[in-house]
Amino acid sequence: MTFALALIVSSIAAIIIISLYGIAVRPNLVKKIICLGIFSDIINVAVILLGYRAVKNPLPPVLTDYSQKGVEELVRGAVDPLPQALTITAIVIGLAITVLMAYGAIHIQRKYGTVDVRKLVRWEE
Amino acid sequence: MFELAAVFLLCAVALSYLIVTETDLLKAVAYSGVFGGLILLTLYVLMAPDVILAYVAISVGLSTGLMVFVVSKTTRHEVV
Amino acid sequence: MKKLITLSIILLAVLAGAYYLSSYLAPRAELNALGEFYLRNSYFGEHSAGSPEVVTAILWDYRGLDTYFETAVLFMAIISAVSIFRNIPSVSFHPRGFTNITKTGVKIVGLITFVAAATTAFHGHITPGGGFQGGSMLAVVPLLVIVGFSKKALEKAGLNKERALVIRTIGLLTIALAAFYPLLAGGRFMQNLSIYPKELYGMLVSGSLSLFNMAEFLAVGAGFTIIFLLLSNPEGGSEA
Repeated sequence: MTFALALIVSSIAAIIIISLYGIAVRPNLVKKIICLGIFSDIINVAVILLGYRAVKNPLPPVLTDYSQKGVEELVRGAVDPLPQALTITAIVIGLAITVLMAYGAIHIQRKYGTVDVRKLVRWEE
Repeated sequence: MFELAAVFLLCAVALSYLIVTETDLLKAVAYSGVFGGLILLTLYVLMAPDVILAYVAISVGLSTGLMVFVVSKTTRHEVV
Repeated sequence: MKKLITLSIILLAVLAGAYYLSSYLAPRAELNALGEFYLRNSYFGEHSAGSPEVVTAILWDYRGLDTYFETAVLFMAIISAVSIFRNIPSVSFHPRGFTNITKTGVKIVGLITFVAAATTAFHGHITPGGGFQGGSMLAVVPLLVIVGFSKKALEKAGLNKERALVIRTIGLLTIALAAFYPLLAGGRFMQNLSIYPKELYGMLVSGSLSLFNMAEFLAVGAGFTIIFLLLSNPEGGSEA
């Protein structure tokens, strides 16, 4: 269990480093947008991992038995609901922002004829 | 059950490396769809059904479709 | 081959990092006081949201103001995307589309997706789901139709950019009115129970939660539909 948690944490760190490398180094704007999508995905997983509880048979935070006994069962086994609620809006808003960036890339292609940042820097010559 | 999440994320590390180094952008978009599937399985292990329902439409459907449209309107191959 | 060597180095580094970290990390079994408050109060209790689905209760009741302004961010992002495309004329273009097998498949899968999206949104206060989830599932249907048939087929069926904007505005206005109504009735901004009823005709509606879910379903679904209608415009692509 401890080694699995450590493996998850170090995988998340590795994906963050790889996607930041993609955002910083790759020259194509579309590739940068794809890498930014990976980055936001893995950040959402990290936030949800913060709310996970290492109890036996964990439950999703949904009440199924409408009684006080059901509430006690929920408090015993359910994971923390707050990170999940914050992540849902982050995912949908993230897609809307990705759309805005994608439209910017299309507009740059239409105006300058390229999405390569190395050519865009020297464009005015 | 929790150990499975580590396996999925280890596959996701390999896929993210493939996405970053791929020069054919259409292939990179397809890889990022598979990456979304792995993240989906991880979220299932972490007990987040609400997030899965939002994510399954956005990551596998909408985001991939959007990027395919964008690649078709710009250039397909990335010149390194 | 060079790729394979780099990839195995990265994986080995991840495993080594996990071995190093495993002596410092310990999995947590107890719950935050805040999380326990939400779990205890969402259906019973005196600070109740009237919903057995804790995540939806947090989303639209306990932290409703956050979600209200996140909806405003969504509104601004889509409006700016529309304004980038404002002067691009729509070109009439008739692609043949795919074969009949694909078209029939798209019809069946599109209908099923629509029903699943509506169920997810309208039961959002009882089972996992809600407005954001249902809306993003709803936006898959026009994407399927555009890929399987064409943009023209979607517009001939009556869903063009202006109508989608109208549907989205109806959804956003409903959210704004439902959020401001408790102020008129003598409550607080976005107050849920004791202004809105918990049960209506014997059905559990959880106050304003189901209303917010339906409105957000329309707003998110129609908003992403506008995006795909604009993107599938054949004008403006490169020749490559």
